[in-house]
Amino acid sequence: MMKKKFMAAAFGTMCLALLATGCSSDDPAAPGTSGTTSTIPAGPTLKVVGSPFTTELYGVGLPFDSPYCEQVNTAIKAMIADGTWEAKLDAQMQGVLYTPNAEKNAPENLANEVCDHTGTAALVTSGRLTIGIKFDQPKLGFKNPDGTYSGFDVDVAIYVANALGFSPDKIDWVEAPSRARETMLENHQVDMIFATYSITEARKEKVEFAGPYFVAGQDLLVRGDDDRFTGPDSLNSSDFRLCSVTGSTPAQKIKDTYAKDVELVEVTGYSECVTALLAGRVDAVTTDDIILAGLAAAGTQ
Amino acid sequence: MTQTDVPAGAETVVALRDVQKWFGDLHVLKDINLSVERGEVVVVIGPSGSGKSTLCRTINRLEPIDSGTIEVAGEPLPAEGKDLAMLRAEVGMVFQSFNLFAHKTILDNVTLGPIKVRKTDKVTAREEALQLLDRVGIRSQADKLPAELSGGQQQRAAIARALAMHPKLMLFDEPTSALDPEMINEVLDVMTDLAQSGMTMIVVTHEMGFARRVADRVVFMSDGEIMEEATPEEFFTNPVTDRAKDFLAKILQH
Amino acid sequence: MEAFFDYLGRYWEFITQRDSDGDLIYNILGAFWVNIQLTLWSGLLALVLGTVVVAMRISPIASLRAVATAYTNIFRDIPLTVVILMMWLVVWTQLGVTFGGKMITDFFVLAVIGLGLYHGSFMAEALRSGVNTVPLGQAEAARAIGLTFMQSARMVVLPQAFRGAVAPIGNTLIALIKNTTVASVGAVSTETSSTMAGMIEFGPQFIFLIFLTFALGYVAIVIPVGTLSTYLSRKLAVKR
Repeated sequence: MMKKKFMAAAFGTMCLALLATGCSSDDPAAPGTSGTTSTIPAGPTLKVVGSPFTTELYGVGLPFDSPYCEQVNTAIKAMIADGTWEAKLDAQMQGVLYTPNAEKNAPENLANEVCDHTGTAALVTSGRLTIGIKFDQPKLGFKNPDGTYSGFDVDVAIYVANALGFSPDKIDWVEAPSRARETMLENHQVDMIFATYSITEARKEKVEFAGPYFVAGQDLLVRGDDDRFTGPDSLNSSDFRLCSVTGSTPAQKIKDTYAKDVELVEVTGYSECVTALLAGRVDAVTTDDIILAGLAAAGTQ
Repeated sequence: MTQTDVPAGAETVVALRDVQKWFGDLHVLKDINLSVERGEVVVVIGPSGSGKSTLCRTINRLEPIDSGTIEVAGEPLPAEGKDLAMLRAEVGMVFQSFNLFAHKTILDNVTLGPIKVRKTDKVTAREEALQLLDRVGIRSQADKLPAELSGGQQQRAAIARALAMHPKLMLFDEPTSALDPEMINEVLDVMTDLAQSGMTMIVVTHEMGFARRVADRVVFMSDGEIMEEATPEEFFTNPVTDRAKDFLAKILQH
Repeated sequence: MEAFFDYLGRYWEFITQRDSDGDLIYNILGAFWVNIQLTLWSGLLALVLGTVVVAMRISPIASLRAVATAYTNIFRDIPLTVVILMMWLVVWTQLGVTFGGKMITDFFVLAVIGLGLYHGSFMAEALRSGVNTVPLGQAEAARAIGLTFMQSARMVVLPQAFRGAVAPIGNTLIALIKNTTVASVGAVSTETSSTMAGMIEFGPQFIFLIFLTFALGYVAIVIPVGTLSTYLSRKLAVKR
C-alpha cells in the first residue's frame, strides 16, 4: 500500500520535472559516431558525458527451474537476426540519438549465457505469462499514464513472449523493483524479468539468466550547459554532489573506485535525481548509459 | 414568599435577576430571582431535576446563563478570562464528587490556590493550610494523596481548599450526596461550624435536618422555578404551595 | 548442516568487509544509530508539538481549537512517505532550504522535521486520550478556585493527562522508531533501510539473512521500549 502511494508521489514528481523543464523543440545535435564510444548528444537541458566506465549485461531473469531458458536465448538471437532488435532500439531512442556501443552489442556477445540449470518446472499452462519490468525507467521499462507499458525492455519481452507462444494481450506486467527481483523469481511471482537486470555472479547463486539482450555501461548525466565534468574522475571533490538510487551498484562503484570525496545523495528513484539535477541542487546523476538516455529524453520533452 | 429580616447595612453578596437557562429545548432555569445577603445561609432543596445544582453552578459561571443578570458583590459576572478567574477566587465551591486534585497531596491541594492565585508565599500558605486542615479535623492526613482518604475526609479537605482562598461566599453543590451515611455528619458538622462563624453560604442539599437547624432561609425549587422561599420554621411546618407539600410529605416519611 | 554454517560464514564475511580506508562497507550498527538519533530528535519534536496542539485543542478559544484540529487532521491523513518525500523534493530541492554545508545534515534535519510533524499529530491524539482520563471535575475545581485556563492546564489537567497518556505515547514512540526507516525516501542514505538496500543489491544470495539481521535489530530496540512503556504506564497512573 505504501509502495503504491510512493509510486504515485514519484510519478507525480516525474510529471513535475517534465513540466519544469518545459517543452523545447530544439533540433538534437549531430549524431554521435558509432564506434567504441557511445556519445549521447544533449537535449537542451541534460546531457550524458564521458564514455561508459563499466560493462553491464542486461539479462532475462528466470527462476532456477524455468523450462524456458534455452528458448529465450533462441528468441533473442532471432530478434537480432531479423532486425527487430535494432529497429525497436532506434524507435525508443529516437529524438535522443542514442547510439549503443556497437562493439559490445555485437550479435556474438548477446544471448550467449549458458543455461546452467535444467528447467524442471512445467511449462506455463494458464495461457498467461507474468513478466516483471521496471515502471519508472523511461524508454526502457515504463508505465504510461494511460496504463500501457513502453520501453526497450518491454519490446524485447513482447518479442520473446511471442516466440514462446504468448501474444501481447496474454502478458501480465508486474513491477519488479531492484531489491525484490531475486525474491520474485524464487517465489515464482513472475515467470521472467526484463528490468535492466545486470548479470552478476552473486545473483547467479539465486536466479537463472538468459541473454544478455543488451550491453550497457555506467555513465554520467549532467546539465546541458555544465562543462565541468568529463568522466567519473572529474567528480572527485567534496564540493560536488552526485545522485543515484539507494543501494544501487553505480553509486557504490563511483565512490569506491573513482571519486571517494564526492558527496553522494541516494534517493528512491532516478526521476528524483533528475529533478534535483534540473533544480541545480546536484551536479550529476549516475547509472547505466541507456537509462540515462531515457531520463535525458524524458527531461527534454 | 416571606423573607427573613435583613440586618441594616448588610450587603448583597449574590443577586440573580430574571435568570433563564435552556439545555437545548429544556428550560432548566425559569425566571430565577434570588438575592443573598452577607452572613446568610440559604439552603436550596427540591426534587431531582429541579435545577438546583444548575442554579448553584451559574453563580460562579461554571454554567453560563442565556438571559437575565447575575451579580456577585455588586459586580456582574464577567465573561471567561482573567476577570472571571479573579471573581471565582472570591467564591468558594464544594462539589458533590469532591474533585480534589488527585495527583497532589492534601496539603498541596489546599495551598495551590493561595500560592498561585493570591500569590501568598509558600511558608504562610502552608501554615494557614495546616490550620484549616486542623479546623476541619484532618490535619494528620496532610501529606496523603486524596485516594488514600475516606469520602468524608476528602470532602472536608475540599472544604478546606475552598476556605483557603478566604472567599466572600461558599457554594455547596450537594456536598454529602456521594457519601456513605456514617460520614455525612462529619461533613455537616464542619458546614454548621462554618455557618456559625458568619460565612455566606448557598447550600444545595437533601439533608433536611441540616436545613432546619442551620439555614436562615430555605428555597424550594421544582421544574426550574423557585416555588417557595421561607424561613425553615415556616417552610417545614406550613408549606404554602402544593408542590412543596407534596415534596415534604414524601421525604419526611422516614 | 555444514553447508549452512559455511553459508553463515560467508554472510559474516560479507557484512564485515571493509573498503580501502579500513571503514566497514556496510555499517549496520552505525545505521541503527542513525535511526535511533532520528527517533530521539523527532520524538522530542513530536512530543513538544503534540503538547502545544492538545493545549490548543482543549482551550476555550475557538480559533485555536480550529487550528489544532486542522493540523491533526492534515498530518494524520497524509502518508508519512509523502511527507518525507515532500521535505526532500520540495523543501530541499525546489526551495533550496539548507542547514549549513553538508547534504547529509540537511537531509537528516528535514527528515526529523518531517517525522516530527507527522508523529506530532499522533502524540496530540495520545495526549488527548490522556486528557480524557482526567475527570471534568478536576478542571472545574481548578477554575473554581480562581486558576486561569493556562494555570489550570499546566498545574492540574496536563500533569494528570501526561500520566494517563503514557501507554498511547509509548505506542506512538514504537511506531516512530519503525517509521524512521522512511527517512531513506528523503535521501538519508546512512540509515537502516538504505543500508539494507545496498546489501541486497550486492549480496542477493543472503537476502533472507539480511532481512533477519535488520528485523532482529528493530526487535531489540522496540521490545525494551514497549516493556518500559507498560511498566511506566502502570506506575505513573493517577490513583483516583
